Amino acid sequence: MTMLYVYGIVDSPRFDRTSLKGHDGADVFAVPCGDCAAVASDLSRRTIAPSPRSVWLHEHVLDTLMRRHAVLPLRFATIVPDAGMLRNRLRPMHRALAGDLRRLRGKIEFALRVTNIHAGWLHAGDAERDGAAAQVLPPGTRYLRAKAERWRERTAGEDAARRIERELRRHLDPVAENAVWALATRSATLTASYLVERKEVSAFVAAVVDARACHPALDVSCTGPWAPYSFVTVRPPEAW
Amino acid sequence: MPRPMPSRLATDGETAADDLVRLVLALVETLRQLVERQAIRRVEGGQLADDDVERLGLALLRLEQRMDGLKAHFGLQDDDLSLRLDLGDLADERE
Repeated sequence: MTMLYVYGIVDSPRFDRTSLKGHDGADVFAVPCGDCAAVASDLSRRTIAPSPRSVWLHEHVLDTLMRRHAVLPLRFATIVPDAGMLRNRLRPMHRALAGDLRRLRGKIEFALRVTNIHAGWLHAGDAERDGAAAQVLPPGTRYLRAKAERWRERTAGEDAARRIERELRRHLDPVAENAVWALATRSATLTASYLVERKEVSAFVAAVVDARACHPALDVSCTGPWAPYSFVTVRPPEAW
Repeated sequence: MPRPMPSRLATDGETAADDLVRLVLALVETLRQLVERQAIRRVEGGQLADDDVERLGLALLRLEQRMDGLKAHFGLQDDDLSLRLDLGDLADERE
């Protein structure tokens, strides 16, 4: 059974597809929907495994299209039964898709990951001293005190992460269009998605280098440019 | 690998019972954490006598042990029971 693998939504049904090959070497084509189009290729199976090669191919198709068009990326492994169903799904979203395409034209995304932000969060000496004292407490009290200590550490960690976010934003925000930050408390990792004008890429990269130099204790990784996944407001249905 | 809690409950006949158990335990775990956080706040605020702290701590300790037993019984990890709710405001409310 032939399915359709959908890479994203592009602002025109007419795009240069001469150098574009999809999964399994299939031709990439447009499924027009109003002024825009879905970018798709045939797929002779119902699922596709996320291998490095297949994920990079998905990204490569989007990246090639983004050089000349506004593109809304769809998540990897978006697969629909046929073009008719795809059009039916896209039609009600057409106006919103057009709005996102206008807003994201000429913009790309960078992903930041900040680790080693926990340095100095924990006061090991205090913890050991408290641990020794806790041994003499009855079990219920010991349990609550230990939980309270963990809660204090977590709160202190979140405060530290917020301070670091403010510091880094001072470097990065002036050269970016938009940003979304998040803190993964358990892994003590800050992540950020930055929306950047294509012409501001060099300035943004310079700002990242500057931020790293000012905060050498932090591990700041930056990857991109990517299609602007984090800034697409139209959410396709979870199940096509 | 832990399965993320979906934003909508998607289930079918084969997994309905497991999904229901997971949802119920996720709700119980969320409430347990909320009660625990309120208890910590009261202990930290010095609002409880030592006997009350011990009684409350023991109750919460047993509740956590019971939840650990249920998670092990149904083969669930902590992340399976995360509803991804921000309880910050709820937990911060003054009594």
